[in-house]
Amino acid sequence: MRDENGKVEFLQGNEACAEGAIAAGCRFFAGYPITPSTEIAERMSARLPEVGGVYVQMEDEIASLAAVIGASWAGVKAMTATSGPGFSLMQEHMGYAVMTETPCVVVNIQRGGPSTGQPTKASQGDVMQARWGSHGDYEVVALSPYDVQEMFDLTVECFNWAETLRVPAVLLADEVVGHMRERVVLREDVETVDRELPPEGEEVERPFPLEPDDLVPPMPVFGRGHRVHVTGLTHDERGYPCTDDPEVHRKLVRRLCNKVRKRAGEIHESVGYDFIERDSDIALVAYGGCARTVLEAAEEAGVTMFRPKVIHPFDEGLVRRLLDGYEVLVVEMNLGQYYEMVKMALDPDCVHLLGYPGGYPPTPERVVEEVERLGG
Amino acid sequence: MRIKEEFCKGCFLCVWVCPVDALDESDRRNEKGYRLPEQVGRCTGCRQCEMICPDVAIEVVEADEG
Amino acid sequence: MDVEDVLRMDRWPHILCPGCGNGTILNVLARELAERFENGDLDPDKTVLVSGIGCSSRLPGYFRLDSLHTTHGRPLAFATGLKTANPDLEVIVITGDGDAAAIGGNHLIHAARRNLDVTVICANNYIYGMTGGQVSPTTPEGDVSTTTPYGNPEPPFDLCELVMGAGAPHVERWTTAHPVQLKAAIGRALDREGFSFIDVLSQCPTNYGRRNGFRDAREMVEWLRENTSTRDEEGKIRIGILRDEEREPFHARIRKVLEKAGGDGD
Repeated sequence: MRDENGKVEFLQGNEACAEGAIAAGCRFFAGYPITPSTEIAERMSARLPEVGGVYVQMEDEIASLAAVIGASWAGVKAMTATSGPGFSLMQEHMGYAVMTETPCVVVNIQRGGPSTGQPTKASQGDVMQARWGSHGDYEVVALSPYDVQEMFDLTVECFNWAETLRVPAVLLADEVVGHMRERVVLREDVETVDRELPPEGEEVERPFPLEPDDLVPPMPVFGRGHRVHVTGLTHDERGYPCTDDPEVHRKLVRRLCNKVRKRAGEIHESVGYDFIERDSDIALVAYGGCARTVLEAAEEAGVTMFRPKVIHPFDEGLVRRLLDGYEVLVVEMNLGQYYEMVKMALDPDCVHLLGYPGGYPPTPERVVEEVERLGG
Repeated sequence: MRIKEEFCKGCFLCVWVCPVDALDESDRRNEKGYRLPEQVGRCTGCRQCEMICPDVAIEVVEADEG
Repeated sequence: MDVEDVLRMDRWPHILCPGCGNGTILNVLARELAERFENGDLDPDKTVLVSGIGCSSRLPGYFRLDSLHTTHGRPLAFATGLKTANPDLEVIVITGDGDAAAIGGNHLIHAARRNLDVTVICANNYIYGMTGGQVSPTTPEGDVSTTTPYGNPEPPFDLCELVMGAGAPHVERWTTAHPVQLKAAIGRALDREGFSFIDVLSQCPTNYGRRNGFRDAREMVEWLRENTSTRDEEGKIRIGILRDEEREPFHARIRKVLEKAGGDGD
């Protein structure tokens, strides 16, 4: 069946994610099975070879992200998919991808944690980790899909932002959306972005400029004569290890952060968000699988609703513009992570939390109950 | 052979490897303070010193190149 | 092509200690590559060096080639992505005894099992040199290191046995006291398709030799020459070509998968 945009299918969220990756141009997947993300690996193992791509099952998650980064430097769009325990293992290489400015996509279908936790249940427990999980100062892009269509669409967005900013982009999904089945349009009009390359055959003298402070330099992928040394050590503009100059480190780390941070508004506008304004003093905030029941609760209770799709980078200005003056109730499947970010942007006395770990989103009734407790 | 004195670190592996003892430690030091080797005998051009030098600091120059 | 054309001479002198075995490896590798670039056997634009963390892992930064200096223990995982995404690249992995056999052990055996088409040069100096001289999985039993002040209580790996057990088809062992043979071994590894592993017994005078009875680099390479043999001799470490077989390389196997799926473009 088709509609005007592409083939219509009834797919599981994880399957839609795989299709989104392929539509975005992904031609390399390296992964390790982990519930509830394994279906992504399985679908990629079947679909990638059909389109001339490579699927490799690596020996662990650490190797998986390493192979993805290697493939990206070979010039290929690359992705891995995992869940909490695997995402924890990947943190060193998240930092490596940031430091080397390697575009790549890491899908995290969040499950109950900490530790082995609830492998087959949902959570939103890795929100902070997606941004702070590796050591050092850095920024990444993390998007949160709330239905199967967004599992397709936001995977494409992840690839595009990874290529635009030369960063790892995280699809911060959860088991609810990963495992549910819904109608999805496998859009064929997908707009893709490719990393900027230097002219082929040219040796690149300064592959990692320190200025301007939000620059994204063209990516001198291997095999084209650029003769670039890529290292996780702090490096100067030539790419050479340079660990003794405080100014070089400062400027480098600032640029790695600013190239994302300074574009926060642009990213939120481009990817979009849902803001349903109603005549009320209370605003509900929810994202991902949890937003599905909260949206219903917001309608039921007649309150304003904000559903971000971009979790990182956070846009304080946007949150203030939308939510200033409200009593804000953040509803999430953890003990308060996005809540902390919202609290920092607004008057903290006006920000409340319904923290709901356990494996399922709260029912709309449960959320309405909380809204009424707040006086709504 | 020709020694690039500014790169030499005075390890004398070249002296050790030379099968005809054409190299030995000298009394001279470079600017960094490393003691330098010097040619003391006839070189057969085996190039082992060239290959073993960790600093790529020694070069065998053929006699007819002057 | 001169050896200096292959190297980033603007970074000379390099950071390695006086008499460091890694320096000999750098030298010999640079000369072998310069020759092959000169005679057209290898394309410098398609030659990529990948390393982990350690003194030997600093080598790629000194070559005027595309290079990926990765995380501790993981160069082979990165190399797996590089080589399977673009099989046209000639991938050389430079690693060390700690990088490859401790933290990297898992990636080492899987890369060997898959028969990833890479040349692995393992600078085996029996110690964690970069961090000051801690015990490594190849440190001989009884040796003193900064974390074995009473002598190493652990038995060491035989890296060649390890990778052969994992399925590596081409395995050699040489030492930095044998630069001529080492260069030839690198040449053979570059010629072979599949996982080529060269265990290079090497000297770390600063952080191993000093604490274990060697006064300088010369005494260490002397020991390496005297205590190794290309024949099976009692009390000597066997060096030479230990295995030289042919097995289907990983990227060819991947290609077959694409053919089966219809995605090979043919």
